[in-house]
Amino acid sequence: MSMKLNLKLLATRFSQAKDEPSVSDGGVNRYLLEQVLRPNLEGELLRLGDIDFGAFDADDVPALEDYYDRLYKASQDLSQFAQTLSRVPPAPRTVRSFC
Amino acid sequence: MEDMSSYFFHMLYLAKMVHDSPRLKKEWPSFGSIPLDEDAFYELSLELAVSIFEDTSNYYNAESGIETWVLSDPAVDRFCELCTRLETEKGLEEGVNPYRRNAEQMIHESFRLNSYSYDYGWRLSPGDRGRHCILFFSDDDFYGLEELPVAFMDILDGFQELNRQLEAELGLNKLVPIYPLRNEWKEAA
Repeated sequence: MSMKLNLKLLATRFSQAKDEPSVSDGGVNRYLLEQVLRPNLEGELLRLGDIDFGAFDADDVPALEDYYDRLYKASQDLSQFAQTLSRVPPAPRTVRSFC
Repeated sequence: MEDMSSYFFHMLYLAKMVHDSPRLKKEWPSFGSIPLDEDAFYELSLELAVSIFEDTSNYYNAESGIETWVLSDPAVDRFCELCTRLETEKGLEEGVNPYRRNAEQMIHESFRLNSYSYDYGWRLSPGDRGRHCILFFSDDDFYGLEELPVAFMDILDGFQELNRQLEAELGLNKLVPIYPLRNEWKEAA
């Protein structure tokens, strides 16, 4: 089965998209997000002594996990979309487009 | 994007629990050097599980493959002492003492784990031999070690709360009892 992609429409949709994170981090403790989760995602190994436990409540941890789950799902969806795009074989045009 | 699974968040939660408990943190001089990774997570869970009750022993029976945890603490001893005192003062049978029933319910709720292959019990009655304690049994298929610290902490907190209520009931502190004795028990007394 062949699939056609309208790249022009895709580019328009991208340009129309709002400039905001695809997953809202509202309600997520800023300290946990910026000083704990992000460094960990960037491969930095944290030790418990590096963490300021006074900067968050125990209840902030499940909220951070929920945010991470949504972020991970969004990254999986994006990765799947990129794979779909990469699998579409290019089709030659019947008429010259340039020069 | 890396899938961190749940260990990262669970470990963060457990570490926060240790940090917020002066007794646990005091007993843990190497706390700050523990890395936030999956291997350390299971070590932390085990260390924490054996540190919550003041006296914790576990025994592994190689023949049956059953591990038995025996959890004792002054808060549990105090609960049993206060229950016996209440029963004596009010002329109550153990079976109708609402505090004993609440303790059992609290233990049931705390041991609702996501894993399987485990069981639990308690020796809280004056008729039980040995020190009063909570018992937890797991076999080789049990995979919920990381759930035990929170369960144990909930149980210990539960006993401390019940002790406050019992002390209020017995007039040993100035708090108003949350579960006042029903009229029929008062009449029986």
